Amino acid sequence: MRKKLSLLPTITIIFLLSAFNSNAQDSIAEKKAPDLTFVFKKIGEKGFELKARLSLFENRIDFPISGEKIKFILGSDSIITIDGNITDKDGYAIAFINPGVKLPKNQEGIIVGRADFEGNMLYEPVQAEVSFIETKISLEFLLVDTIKTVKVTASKINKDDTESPLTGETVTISIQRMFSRLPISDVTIGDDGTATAEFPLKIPGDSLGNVDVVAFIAENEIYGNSESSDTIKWGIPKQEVLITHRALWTQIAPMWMIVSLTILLIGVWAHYLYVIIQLILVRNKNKQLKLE
Amino acid sequence: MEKSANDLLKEFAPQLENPTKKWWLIFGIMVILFIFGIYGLIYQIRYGHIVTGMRDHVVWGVYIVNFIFFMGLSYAGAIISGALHLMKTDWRKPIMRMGELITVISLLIGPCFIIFCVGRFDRLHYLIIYPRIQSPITWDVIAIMTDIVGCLLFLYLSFIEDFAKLRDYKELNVPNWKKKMYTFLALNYKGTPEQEKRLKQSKNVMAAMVIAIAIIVYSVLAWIFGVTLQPGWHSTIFGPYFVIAAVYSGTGLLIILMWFYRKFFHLEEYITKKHFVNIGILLFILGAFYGYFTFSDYLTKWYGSVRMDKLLIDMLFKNYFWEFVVANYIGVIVPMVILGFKRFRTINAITIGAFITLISLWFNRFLIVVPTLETPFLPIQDNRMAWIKYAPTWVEISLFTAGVSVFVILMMLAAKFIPIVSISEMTEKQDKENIII
Repeated sequence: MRKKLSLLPTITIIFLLSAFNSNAQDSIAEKKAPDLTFVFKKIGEKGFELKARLSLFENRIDFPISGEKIKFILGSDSIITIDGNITDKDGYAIAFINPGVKLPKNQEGIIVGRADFEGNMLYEPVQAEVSFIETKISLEFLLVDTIKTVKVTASKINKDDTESPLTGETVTISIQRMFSRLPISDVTIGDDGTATAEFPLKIPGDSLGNVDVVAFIAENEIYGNSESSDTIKWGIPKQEVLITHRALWTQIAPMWMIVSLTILLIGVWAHYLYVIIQLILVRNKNKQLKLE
Repeated sequence: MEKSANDLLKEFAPQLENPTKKWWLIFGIMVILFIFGIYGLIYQIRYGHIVTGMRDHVVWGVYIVNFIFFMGLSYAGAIISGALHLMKTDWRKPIMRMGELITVISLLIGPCFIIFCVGRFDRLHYLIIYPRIQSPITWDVIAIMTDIVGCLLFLYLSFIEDFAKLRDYKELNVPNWKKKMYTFLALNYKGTPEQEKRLKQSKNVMAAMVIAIAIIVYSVLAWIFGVTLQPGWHSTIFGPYFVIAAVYSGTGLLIILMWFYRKFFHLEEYITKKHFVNIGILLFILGAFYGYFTFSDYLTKWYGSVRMDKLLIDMLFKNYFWEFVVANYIGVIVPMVILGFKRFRTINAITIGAFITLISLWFNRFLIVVPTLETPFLPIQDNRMAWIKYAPTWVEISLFTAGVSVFVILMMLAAKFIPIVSISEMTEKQDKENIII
């Protein structure tokens, strides 16, 4: 019998060990090829954000790789290197470049950037590259015949640091909400480097009516990612509505609901209590008999 | 000639004593499946819900399907065992305990799937600390907790007399701890008229209560879906439809368990063809009701041609064609044909019909949950097909398998602790005569 009993834990342990062992052998035998994405974004007057993400796509699932070092390299002739960026739990490594720093450009005025993962025992090395022409976007808020208007000025920065209008390009104007951006207009930049859009009337703001307006170019083939934001008091101030009546959607439930639930619960639990008392009496009755 | 309690105890004692090789083999396989599920769970906790097939659209997958499925089995067990108890006919006696065990064991497994589905374990207690009376989720939490207490109480009541018989049966070769358990749980029950009266009253009360609670609780579960405006869920008949479907699947499971226990415990003398036919007739009636409710629900949605309902029904007939056929055609027609014609009413054929019922009802739950979530009202920006389409991953399948294995393990352990055929029910008349003498 003992032999029979010991068989089950043995099988279980073998099963578990084989599962863990096979994983370890796999990882030693073959390095995995991770994915690296790289986004280089100009954030208005605040400078540049360099954001890389290292992950592994396996069995239809995207696993972030954390704790790995990513190196950012800018330029091809003169080179700027930003080293020592470690990926976080979501696989992101982020670096910032201050606005005063002059980025290296090639003959056509293009900035070339690269994110570099050197690889290790588990993963193969991987690189991701971006190239773009630097742009500048600015926002202005105007009242044109009492109509609230957002004016966007967008230009590209040439090799000699002069600016030329970003004619014909589309800039999205949006409002920052809690989870995402609410687009209000896509405007095309004119010959003078500007474009305007009407600001909607019924946009809720914070308690003072402030809203954050963002103008951006995203994933453009030539200009990459660039944005600018500003705050204006054009929103409808958010007010706390004090609801005192009872309803399905208020904090306090309708009275009929509370009463019905209470009656139901009392009804059911009273029966349980009755049965438990009966069981106690069943137990005690026999003790009484024994005493007699 | 009715057998005495001692005869029955002598006959059933080997079931409670040393397990056989076959028992250990099945138990071992089930434990391995359970460990596989635990491995899946650890993997899910380690990497998060990204390892499941659930995404932004389909936030309820196989976990919720299993929750509804197991809860349905539990409520079916409660309704069937409660009704069998109140029926007072002789034929029901050998199968009553199986219904009672289905109730409690499924009820313990079902809610676990909710825990697997919840992304933030650490916030689970908010449901109790910050309940919102208006929310059907709160009703469900209250109802399930109330139901667990009621079903455990009902199960215990039905065990007391057998515990007393096992306590008094000196030839029983079981470990001491087990004997002590029987003595403790028997509550000094000696079968005096007063004790018997109190126990009988309690059982009658609880039999009626578990039926009522099961209907209410499963309706509450149906209302979680029904009160939303989602296509396919917003239906006034969802409450009764869920209850009928639950009893249908539970009846199927009862027949399957009857077949297994009859075969492995050699209970041919007690669980006869009559039991299979009688429960089979119940399955037939429930199948007819289930088919009627299903047809009525889909017909009104299809005829109404509301855009989202139409999209959903198109999806059911295109993307989920085979699942739809299994759930709503094969699951109704095959068991009804088997039970509708006398010549097909053999024990094995009825069990096959019951098995088909069980499988089809799982698919029915899948079709209620998943296609609706794949047909959202609100368009979501930056949609990707991989986020809309749902397919369970190995992690979800491992936990589903673990759920089934735990059910089998607990049924096996229960049969090692108490006779699967209630001795006290089988010797009810003799016990009364003894008291009179």
